[in-house]
Amino acid sequence: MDDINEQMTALDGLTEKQREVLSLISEGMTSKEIARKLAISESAVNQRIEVVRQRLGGLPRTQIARIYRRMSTVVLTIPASNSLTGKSIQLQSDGLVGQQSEAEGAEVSTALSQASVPFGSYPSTPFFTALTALLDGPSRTRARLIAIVVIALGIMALAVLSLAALQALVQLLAAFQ
Amino acid sequence: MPGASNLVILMLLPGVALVLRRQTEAASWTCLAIVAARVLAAVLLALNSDAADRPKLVAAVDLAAFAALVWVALRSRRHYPLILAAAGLIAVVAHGLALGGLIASIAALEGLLAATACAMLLALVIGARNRRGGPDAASDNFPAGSACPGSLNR
Repeated sequence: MDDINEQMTALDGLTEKQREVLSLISEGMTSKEIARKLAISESAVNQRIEVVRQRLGGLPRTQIARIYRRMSTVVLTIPASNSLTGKSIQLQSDGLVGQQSEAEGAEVSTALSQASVPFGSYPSTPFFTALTALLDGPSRTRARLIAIVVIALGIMALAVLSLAALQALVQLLAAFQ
Repeated sequence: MPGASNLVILMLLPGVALVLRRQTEAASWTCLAIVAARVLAAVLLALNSDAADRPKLVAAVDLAAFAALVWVALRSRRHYPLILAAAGLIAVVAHGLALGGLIASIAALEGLLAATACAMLLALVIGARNRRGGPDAASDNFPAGSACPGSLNR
């Protein structure tokens, strides 16, 4: 939740136009499509995206879109002690949903994030998210170097297996003849 | 191996055209590294008449290209340069094996190098594209404040 608060603070100073672009990015639109929709140039769109990215410490576009989507499903929890009804109140940050519950905030957050629409056609599986976080995380240099070696080994293994399979196939065909 | 080098340059031309059109930093530096390596290899091979030194020269050039690709992969925000660097690593390993006598056939080595060049071209062309809902052209530039010496973009 702290991360989300930090990111929300970072995005506080955005102009209406920048928010508009951010919202369209989160819908899975490309820069070209956004430029067409807003009747502005593609470079103006990219400029606005760059401002948002710099505010979030140079995160890639996909992660910015994820953050925006997550922000739209952030649950604000008012503890029972501060609630007039004596029960904890949980509100969705975009104000579309307001519900009263005694459930733990984390559970509701999870349920809402699971209900959210997948982002475009970009893979958003837990594996891909973890991999992206690792490759763009604090130890990105080491992670990327390891990734290069792993990819190279993978390609070589694939090539060796393909050659072995080809050889086996040729032998099989020769045996039939 | 001047024939293979020239073939790779020819194969890379469509990729170069696409990359120049996209005008992004990671793709531009990658393209520059690959083409410069091929041209340098061809020039060195043309200047050097000693057949014994030729494999070492090409290996040295490919090692330099691999270093450049790793540099791009570490600076980039995108992931496709990792595949290019991996292909560069395979080329370097292939040279190492050939110099060590583990790959006896020149044709096998050339085939392997051509395959890595194809993999690089494919990764570059696919990676430098925009993808709906995925990374855009701007994300192919290096992050602000990185150690990039300058932009190739105009």
